[in-house]
Amino acid sequence: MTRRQLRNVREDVLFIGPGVFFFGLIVFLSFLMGIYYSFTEWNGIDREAVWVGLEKYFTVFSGDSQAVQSAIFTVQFTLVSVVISNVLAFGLALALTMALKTANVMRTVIFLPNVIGGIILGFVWRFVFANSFGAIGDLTGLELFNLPWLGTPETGFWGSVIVFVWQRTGYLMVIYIAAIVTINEDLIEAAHIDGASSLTMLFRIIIPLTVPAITVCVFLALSWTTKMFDVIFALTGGGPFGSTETFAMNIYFEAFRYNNYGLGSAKAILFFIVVGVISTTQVLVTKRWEVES
Amino acid sequence: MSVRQLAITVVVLFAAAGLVFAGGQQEAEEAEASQEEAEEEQQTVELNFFQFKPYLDEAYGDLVEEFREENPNVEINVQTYGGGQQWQDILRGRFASGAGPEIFPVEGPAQYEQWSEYIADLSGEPWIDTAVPFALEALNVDGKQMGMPVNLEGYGYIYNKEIFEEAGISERPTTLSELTEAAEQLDEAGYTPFGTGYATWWVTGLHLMNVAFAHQDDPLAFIEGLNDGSESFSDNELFADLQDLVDLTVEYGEEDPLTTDHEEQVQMFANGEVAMIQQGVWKEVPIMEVDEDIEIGLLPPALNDSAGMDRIPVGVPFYFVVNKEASEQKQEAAKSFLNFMVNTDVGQRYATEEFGFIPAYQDVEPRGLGGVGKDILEYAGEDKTVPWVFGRFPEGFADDASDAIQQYVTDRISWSEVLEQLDQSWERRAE
Repeated sequence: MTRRQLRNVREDVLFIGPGVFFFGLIVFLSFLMGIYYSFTEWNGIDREAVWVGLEKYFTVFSGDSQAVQSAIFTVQFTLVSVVISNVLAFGLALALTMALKTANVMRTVIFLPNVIGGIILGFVWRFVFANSFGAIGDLTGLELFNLPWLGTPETGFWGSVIVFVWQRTGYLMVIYIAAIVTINEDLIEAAHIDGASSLTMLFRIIIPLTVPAITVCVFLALSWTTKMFDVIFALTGGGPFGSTETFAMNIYFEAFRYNNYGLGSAKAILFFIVVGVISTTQVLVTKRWEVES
Repeated sequence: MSVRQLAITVVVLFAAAGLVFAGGQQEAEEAEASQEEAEEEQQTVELNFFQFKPYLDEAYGDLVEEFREENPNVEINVQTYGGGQQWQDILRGRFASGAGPEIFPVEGPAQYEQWSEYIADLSGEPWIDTAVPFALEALNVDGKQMGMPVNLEGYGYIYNKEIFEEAGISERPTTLSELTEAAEQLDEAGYTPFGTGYATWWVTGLHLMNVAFAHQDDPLAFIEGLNDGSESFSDNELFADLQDLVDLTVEYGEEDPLTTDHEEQVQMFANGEVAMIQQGVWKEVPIMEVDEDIEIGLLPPALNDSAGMDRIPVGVPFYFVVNKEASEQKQEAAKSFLNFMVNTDVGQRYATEEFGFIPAYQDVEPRGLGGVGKDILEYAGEDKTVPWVFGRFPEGFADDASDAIQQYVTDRISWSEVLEQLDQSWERRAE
């Protein structure tokens, strides 16, 4: 080994080593243990976990209606939230890259919810839905605010979507802004001179050139929504009657509330595979749309 | 030289990683050292006492100090972790890391099953003779007493005496018809009779369900019957009657029962917006915090008009158990602390005055009780109680029951479908 090679190795170890070490300890090792426990019958307390092979995986597919319900909710929630949060973030990014006086303040304000922790946010919004919405409804007479918010599956669903969008749109917006400001001014100017309308500019120039950002943002939103836990846990606790239970919550309840650690782990492993496949597909597909300017 | 540098880097890295563990090891060494010291000076025993009521953290600390006056060689760390289900996760973590506390709570037979391999036998402890006999039952396993009850709790409909008076209700309603009449009168007087709190799973899944279980001729036999398939919810009269009570509370309840949880129940009740809430003695302190002067009492949850409905469900909310894995000496110290807690004057004074508990022991004079506590004690004195059996529900049944009732009160399913769902849930969860 030459000196240079040696130095590279040393730097690699120095800079990446600690990260790899802790990632291995906290994420990878837990993951392997999860795989092991998914093949066992264990309540999380006993000293011995009994090996049962694939039994728990069969149980997952043997008609657990609550698991099915939570999977359906997760899919619906993911589709709706990913679309709304991205469209909204893109729209805001467009608006705030135009020469607005208050643009900087607005960016900060919209980004701010993102720094609030999920559990706190859930509780705050539960209060908003329960108390503030009613008060607004009484003042304005608007029917929308007098709905039994979080008291029905429908309002529970849309309540969750509203809170998610409120929390995460700012983050996505920042990424879109970064992408939009890097578009070469010459292109815009040339298009202007060629007489392109604003709509044409949007669909022919701005959107195609921000596809890399779209890839990232959709990926982020997908991974947030499919694994959604904290906000909804605090907001609705999965209610009413389990209608807003996400799959991640279903796993938690199975493992820790019903003490079926093995079954919970099996669900988690299957969940990991499904989320992995979906995310990879999404990245591959949107990558293909990317163009060079 | 470069090889040496590489070596140094690696060493530094490992040292950095090692720091994390070194911290732990050092602690262990210190602990060892202090143990040796301890053995020299009269054998200090250190106990960890795990409890889950945050508002009692300080009071337990004071109780420990009192205990140490008589037993200076015992040190007790009060570990308080409250909040819903989470204390169980924390306890689990403690045991998984080999640091299980010497004293910890279990809530009933179902939880006992999970922890049984860690729980020491407490048979022969002096407090057994003074305990209210039924309070011992749930953790009496094959004739061995495995857990120590501390207090009794009861629930029903907490009612606002002033509002009742204003509406012209002079007699306490003790049957379903009387409860219905009272609700009508309250409604006419312009009050909302019930604050249901049906958004909270345990209000419906544990307590409301328990009413129909507890009034069975033999609740435990009924549960056995459910387990072996000879009984079912669909064919049971009391579970048919339960519908009437649920209907009553919803008809005369707040507008959207699924938007209010147990905390909003307390708010609505303490602010005088509703006249009754289905809650228990544990809500007495929170209610008084909002309105000190409120006059309250407890009504029995009646399913029909038979005289036997004038009973309050009373039970033991949790038991303290001793960790079998602890050393002999620690177990002895733990047992003597538990005995001190319930079987001495000081301990009893704390239980009633500081903790506001209704003691599960016969020779204790309950002091410092509020209106709800007094009513429970009166019912208990007249032997007009029914048991809590939800500690025997299979894991997950209460959630399913809560889901079913929530669907019923929003008109999504009929009552017969509720009972079908309960049957299916029990069959699946009990395995």
